[in-house]
Amino acid sequence: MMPAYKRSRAVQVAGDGWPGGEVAAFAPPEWRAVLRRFLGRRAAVVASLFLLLLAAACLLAEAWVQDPNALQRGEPLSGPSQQHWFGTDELNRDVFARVLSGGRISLAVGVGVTILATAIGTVVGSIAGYRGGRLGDVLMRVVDLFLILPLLPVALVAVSVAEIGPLDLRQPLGTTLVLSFLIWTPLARIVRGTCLSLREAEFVEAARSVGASTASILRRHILPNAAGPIVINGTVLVAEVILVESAIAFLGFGAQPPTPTWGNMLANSVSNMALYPWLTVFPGLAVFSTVLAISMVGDGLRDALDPLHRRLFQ
Amino acid sequence: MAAASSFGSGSPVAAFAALAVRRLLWSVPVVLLATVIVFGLVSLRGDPLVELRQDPSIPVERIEQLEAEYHLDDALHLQYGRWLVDFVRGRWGTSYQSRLPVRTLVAGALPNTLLLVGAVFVVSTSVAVGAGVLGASREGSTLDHVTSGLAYFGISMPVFWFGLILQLVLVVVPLRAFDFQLFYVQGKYSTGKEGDVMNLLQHMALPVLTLSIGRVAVWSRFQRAGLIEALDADYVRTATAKGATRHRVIVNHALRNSLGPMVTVVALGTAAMIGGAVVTERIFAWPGMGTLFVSALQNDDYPVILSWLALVSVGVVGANLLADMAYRLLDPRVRLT
Repeated sequence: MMPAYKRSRAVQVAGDGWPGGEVAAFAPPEWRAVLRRFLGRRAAVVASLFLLLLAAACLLAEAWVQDPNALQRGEPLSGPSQQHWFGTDELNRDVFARVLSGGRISLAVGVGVTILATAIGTVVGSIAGYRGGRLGDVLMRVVDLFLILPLLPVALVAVSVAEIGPLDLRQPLGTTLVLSFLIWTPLARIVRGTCLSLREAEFVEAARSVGASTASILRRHILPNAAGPIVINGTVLVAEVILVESAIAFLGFGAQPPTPTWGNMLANSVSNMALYPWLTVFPGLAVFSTVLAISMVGDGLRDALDPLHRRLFQ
Repeated sequence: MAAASSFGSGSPVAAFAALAVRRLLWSVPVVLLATVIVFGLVSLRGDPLVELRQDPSIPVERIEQLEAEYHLDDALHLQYGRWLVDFVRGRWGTSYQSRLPVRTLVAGALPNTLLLVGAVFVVSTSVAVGAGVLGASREGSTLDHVTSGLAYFGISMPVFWFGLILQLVLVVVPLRAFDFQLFYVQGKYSTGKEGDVMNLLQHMALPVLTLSIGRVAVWSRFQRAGLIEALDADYVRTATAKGATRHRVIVNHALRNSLGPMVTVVALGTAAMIGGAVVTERIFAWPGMGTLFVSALQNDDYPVILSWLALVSVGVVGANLLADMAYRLLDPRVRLT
């Protein structure tokens, strides 16, 4: 049974970053209504189906299509055909199988970083916003610090460290940790804003006065109000991380061949792009369509969670 | 300065300058911490001389000389302190790879990157503001839907792939089909044509286009959102009621008020490009900061990596500060808060 005060609407003047700084109301999302509005957006639904299909194909690729490193019969570097949908590469490997296998890495890193970074950002943001004080100031300076470090170059330096003990930073797990560590800060700001504006709200006061612990106040009364922005930020993150991860791999600092990634397949194709364009077209198309689908889902979620926003960024 | 009256009592210009200085001082510890992180990361990469040590053709004396030159035997915090002092004094060391001073390398690369970034800035802001204004002033029209749809594509497009596809479609295919080349894909000038402006433009066109697509996509959406919001304001209704034309209302009343948030987004996006053009410069072999960085990284060229990251961080902080101040100048409501 939900306590009644959880429904209270908090009103906050949105700070910097929002055009004009108008008054925006926020409240815990009503998930059933959100789902209904989301399902009403055809583009977002189609994009979700595409992503589900892609994820399933990538996960099942090796069992279902074939080993991405298996050598095929017939001519190497043959174009797309019925047998090899995306053609074959210079070692006569099936490009379709390699694209799906690379997708597993990109999707895993994208989702992994998003979960980790969301966890870090939420914890740091709520401590900085709810507790505040000296600790909060220090935490926000740390956030400022991360915001001035250019993401791609710093990530490149970090993964080029190559190994910390048993952990290879160029492998998906290592890259996931590095990127999570670099990319949690925007969410920390968002969560801090929500906590700051709600910590003096009456329903929080009420919870405090009946002896609720800080953790439970945050979890049950404050953070649900930030659920919308957290989810929206999450979809933006997945897309951004996939772009950064494939850029890292493209520059040669990701998983090393023969492990296929979208980035290293593209980098490999550059020298012979004119003769064998399918080697360039398909891995890149995979990145593009995945990121596009994630953006469409993200926009659908944004409209569903925050109908007010819709008119401005349709 | 007409707007100066809204500064309130005291010397308005002095108050604004004081605020700017206070902000500047605040950013010093942040930059210092950033250099600590950068230095720590680079040290984590381990012994910079490992390859030289394994090379039998290099005498031990040379290795020892290098160790002494770069103080590689000192404790890490001492190395950091020495590096920081040297960096601030403008002594950025010598590249391991080319044996050239890092300052010379940066002096060669930075103007090229600034040229690229400047061109992208001009192209992207004009297209983005234009598209945003068109979209907002005809909200909901087919044109609005088309520009919004294109923005989607721009945001999701990986730069490295877009650059390659541009090369394929605009250079490789015409070259093979008609033996005709309008654009070049490598470097800044063709050999023997150094200084030829037309040749430079033919080299710049594709990298500029590659970098612009993402900015246009993001910035046009900001401009559109800002203008739609400004058009909702009371002063717009007043102006319309007094008989001003739609064109006049947009250009003279709403547009300026919609530019504030744009300034911040554009300034930060432009600063990020100095560090973020790494991939594009690499694809087009553009002799700028990005190419310098990637080749330094591949060759474990520590002095270059360190100075590069420190410089870019300082640049981002500077752009942040400028954007903040420009925003305050444009919007008197937040001027001295």
